[in-house]
Amino acid sequence: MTRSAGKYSDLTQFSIVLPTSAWLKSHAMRRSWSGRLAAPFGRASRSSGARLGRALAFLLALLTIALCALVSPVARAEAQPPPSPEGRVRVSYWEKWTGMEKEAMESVIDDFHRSQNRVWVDYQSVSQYQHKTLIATAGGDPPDIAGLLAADIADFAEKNALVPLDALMRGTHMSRESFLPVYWDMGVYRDHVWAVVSVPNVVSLYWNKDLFAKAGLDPDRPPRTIAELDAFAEKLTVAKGGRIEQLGFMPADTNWWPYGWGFWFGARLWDGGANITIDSPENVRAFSWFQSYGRRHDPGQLQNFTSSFGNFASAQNPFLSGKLAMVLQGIWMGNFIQKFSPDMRWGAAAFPSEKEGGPPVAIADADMLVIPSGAKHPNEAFEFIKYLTQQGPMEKLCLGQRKLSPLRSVSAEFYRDHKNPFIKSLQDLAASPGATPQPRISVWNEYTLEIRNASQRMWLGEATAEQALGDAKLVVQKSWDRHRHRQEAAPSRWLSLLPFLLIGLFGAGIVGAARREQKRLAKMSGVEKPVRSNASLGKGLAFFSPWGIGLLVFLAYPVASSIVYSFCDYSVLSPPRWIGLQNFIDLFQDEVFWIALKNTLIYVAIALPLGLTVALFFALLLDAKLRGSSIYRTLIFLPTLVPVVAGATIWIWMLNGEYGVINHFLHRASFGLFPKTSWLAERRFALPSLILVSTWTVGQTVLTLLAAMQDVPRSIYEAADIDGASFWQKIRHVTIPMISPVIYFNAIMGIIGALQVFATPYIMTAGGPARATLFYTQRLHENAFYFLRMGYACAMAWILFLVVLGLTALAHRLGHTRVHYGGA
Amino acid sequence: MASVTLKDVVKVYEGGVKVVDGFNLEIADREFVVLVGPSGCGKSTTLRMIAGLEELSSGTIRIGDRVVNDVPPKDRDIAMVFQNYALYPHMTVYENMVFALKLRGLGAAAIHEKAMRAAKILGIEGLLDRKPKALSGGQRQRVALGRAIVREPKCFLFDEPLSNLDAKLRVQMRAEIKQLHMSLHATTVYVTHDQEEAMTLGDRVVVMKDGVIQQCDGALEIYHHPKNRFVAGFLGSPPMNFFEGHLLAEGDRLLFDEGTAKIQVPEWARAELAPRAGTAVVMGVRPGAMSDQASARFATADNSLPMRVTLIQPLGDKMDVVLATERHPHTVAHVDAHARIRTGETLPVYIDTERVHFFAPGAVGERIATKRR
Repeated sequence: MTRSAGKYSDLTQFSIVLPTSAWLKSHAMRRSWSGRLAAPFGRASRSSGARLGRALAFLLALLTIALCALVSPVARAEAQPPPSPEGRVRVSYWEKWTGMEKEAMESVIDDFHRSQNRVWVDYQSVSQYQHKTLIATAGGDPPDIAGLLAADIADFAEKNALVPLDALMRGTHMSRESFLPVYWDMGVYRDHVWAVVSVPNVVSLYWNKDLFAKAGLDPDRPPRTIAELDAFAEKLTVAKGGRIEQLGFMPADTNWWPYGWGFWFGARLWDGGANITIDSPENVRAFSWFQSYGRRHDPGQLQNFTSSFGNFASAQNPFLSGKLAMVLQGIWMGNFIQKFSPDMRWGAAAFPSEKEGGPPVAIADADMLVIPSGAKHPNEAFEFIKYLTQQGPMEKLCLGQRKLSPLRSVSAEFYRDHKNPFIKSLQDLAASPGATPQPRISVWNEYTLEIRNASQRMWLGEATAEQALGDAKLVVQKSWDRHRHRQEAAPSRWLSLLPFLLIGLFGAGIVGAARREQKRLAKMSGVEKPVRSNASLGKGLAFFSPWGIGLLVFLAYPVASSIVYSFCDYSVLSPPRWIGLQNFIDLFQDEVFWIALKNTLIYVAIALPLGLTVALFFALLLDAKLRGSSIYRTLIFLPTLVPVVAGATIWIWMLNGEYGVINHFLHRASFGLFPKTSWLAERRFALPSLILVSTWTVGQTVLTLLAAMQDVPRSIYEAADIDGASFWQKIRHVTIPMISPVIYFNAIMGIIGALQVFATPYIMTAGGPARATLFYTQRLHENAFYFLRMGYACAMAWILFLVVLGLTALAHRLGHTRVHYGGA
Repeated sequence: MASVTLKDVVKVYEGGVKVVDGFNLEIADREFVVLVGPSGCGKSTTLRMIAGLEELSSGTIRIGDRVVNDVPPKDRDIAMVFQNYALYPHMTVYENMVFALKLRGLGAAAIHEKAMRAAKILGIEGLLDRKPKALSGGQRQRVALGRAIVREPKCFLFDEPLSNLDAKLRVQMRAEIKQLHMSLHATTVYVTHDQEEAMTLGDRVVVMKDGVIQQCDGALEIYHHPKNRFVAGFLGSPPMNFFEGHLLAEGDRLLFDEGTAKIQVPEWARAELAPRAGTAVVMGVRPGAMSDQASARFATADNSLPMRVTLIQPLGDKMDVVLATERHPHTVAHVDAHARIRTGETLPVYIDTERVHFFAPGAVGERIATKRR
């Protein structure tokens, strides 16, 4: 995996436990929250759904809360609330920060508590803040204040998840005039203010003055144009005998803002209307330049050099350890330098633009405060936001977090007390008209994913900038068009009844069939009604109910719902809209869908036979009565007991290009001839690597095969011995036919399992490089939980179901005549 | 065809259990030898050692002139029929029969010819396309036989092949196996725990106990002249009755004192028994050598025991009467069905002293005297 995949996977890796609860919630909450939701776009209206639906929603909500309590630090924090002075309104505040940043905010909150005696703010650090805030909002019990990122605002606002702040702000000090415009505008979407900046960030160039001096460059003069940057980078690159030791610049390292390269070339990502402009000539130029850095060095050498980079927040960060001379980073880089490499001489300035002369250009980003829809104390929450956005508290917060201030006016004390020596120039950079935010477009999640994928493809040299960006544009434009058109379909209240109707029809079908069968039997036997003295419908249902209720609530309802949603546009937070077959039509035109399907089918076609062969091999070894075979049996089974995440993480390290054990042995065994390979980062090796990793957990299959082998009567082997069969002939003519039902069973389960492969590749490659290992369920997961396109995801789920059904039927057709079932 | 020779064969299992102990046997070419004995006597192990499925602990086994101790089963040129048939369940009858031929690389035509011939001999031509699952026990046994005979081996080995069949079928298959042997003239080693099977099938019968050969002779020889009390008790149904008593010399008469009554030792046994006067001996009497009727041809004053009838088992023409004396509560007499005997009555039972056997005391007491005939 190139470093560039880092940010996305960082954000999503933590959500592994979440999907279940999010999914349950998504079904449950529709009813309970929508009535309470403010409806600025006139979409949500008061719900009057069936009582059953409400009870069901309540049940699922309870379950979800229980699940959340298990996994979230929120619940733990709640157990011990800070002492709250009597008589105050308590405002709950969910924020992503921990450590230094949390302390800074808590100090400001303490000041706020002292400044008045009406409101008390409970600060809670929350992981997966986006998911949790969204779910809590949908569930009707959100925090009063939540800390989001600027990129979340459009999506949340579009989903009706936020309280508009316009009315609350009237008559306060808060206005566009008092803020740096770029940060103020981040909270504005469709002419309403939804969020207010808390702590801003500006992305700029950081350079290592020591390395500049060593290379004969003026340490105090950063590059001013892209051409200069390239020239400096050349001089700052050190390679000995083909082995890279130091690089001047490497755009693929921490490619955290892959969308932003065009900003320095005068490009925009969206025209604010119908058009996605990632394929504009400026963007193509920018990404061609980005790509050129991948072509300046031997790809293998480059890959190995980058895989030697340590964690970002450590002394092994390539910039901090002197492996990279220049990096593009956020304002926090200063903190890391001071913490991990305090002796380094460094500078920070605007990243150079293509052409000299314009205003300095930077990527602007910010942490934002919002009041989620349904918050119980919006006025008190705003009270705190208002307090925070005054110059004093705001500067205290930003000083504490060592960030810049989002306010237009900055005090002399702020500059004086700030730990970052370049704060003035960074503050100026943020105020520059060239400070550019992410576009506030509701398909931004998908947009960034596409750009990230495109930049991976370019970096791997699989496509030119034009091709990669053109492909990305196609996908995003399609999605954006779809989104805009679907706004037109009206939400349908009756849709929520449809799942129950489906269950009812199915139930009626079963009852009808049973009746017919009863009648048929009655006719055959001539007995009108079978005599059963103890027959009682009530008792029968009572005995059935523990299982039956579970079946209805946890299986029948979700299944029926997903059928209904597959014909809907449904984003969890708004009521579903009926769109007929559109999801399926869109899917068949969705390039990413086909990539995911193809990868998955390849995976099944290779991993399954390979896994079975390996399992058979081990089972045969274990079946030979070796000394200590119980130990081998345990060893082979052991990997299946290792938690998936732990196993995947171990494999990431085993397959690492620079430090991986596998490369180490291959290198040694070949006397250094075998080149060190980044197995997961190269397209041709990534999928095969995952397939090989899948054989690590064949233990379960081995055990079932072994059990079957040990069931084969010894006398049949003896008969074969006497008949003259060799070792291999006995395996071929006795063992395999005799255990064929178990092989067949494992093959069928293997097909189903492999088609649903998710966790290990998700953790190891997150679908990369450039979607080489993007599997079906991961794409489904992206659609469902990253883009919140539940209807689309349900349609994908049903297509997968049909594929599973089809392949299983095919396997049955092919295998069934060769399977020998039971009995001598 | 070939002879099979076992010399000083010993099999010791892990843990030191000696299941076969110094087994010596020469089986002639074309001979049908039955190994018989109670379960655990080592008969199956012996057979499996001949087949090569078990290794010898010591001793040698020859098939023909070749020592086969280290020859794998497939190269010993033998065929074996298992108790549970061990047919390949995933193959048809035909495939089962020709599997060995295919492995040997015979041509398709030759294979087909041999298979059809075997099928015809066994009358299973109509079953060739079926899987074993679809066959009855008898049919499966026939297929197992067929699989053995298509290979035309030097030696046939049968490991309790009829045990899984019902009684009627067992008798029928027994006859067929005998006929098969008579037509094929193949050297055959047959293991069974059923003495009746052993007697009807074997040219020679080897009676085993605890890994040791007790007696190896023709079936009738063993029946009439058992070498020890174990062999005497093992063959025959119902089994031989044993009366434990001792010898008394009264004047010039030699008597066997059963405890409740005395029986005169017959003339032919006097020479062997006289030196043992005053010691304990065991008298063996087959149920057929006992009669309730004074009219029996062997009834004399000196050969009856007063016995109480405890149970009557009618068998049609004959009946088995369970009789008891004070010291021998379970004795069986095989008498004519017309005898008017009632349960509970005590009556004199006459013993044909021409047909009794005398053994030394103990479970495997050696034979002291038996009448040659």
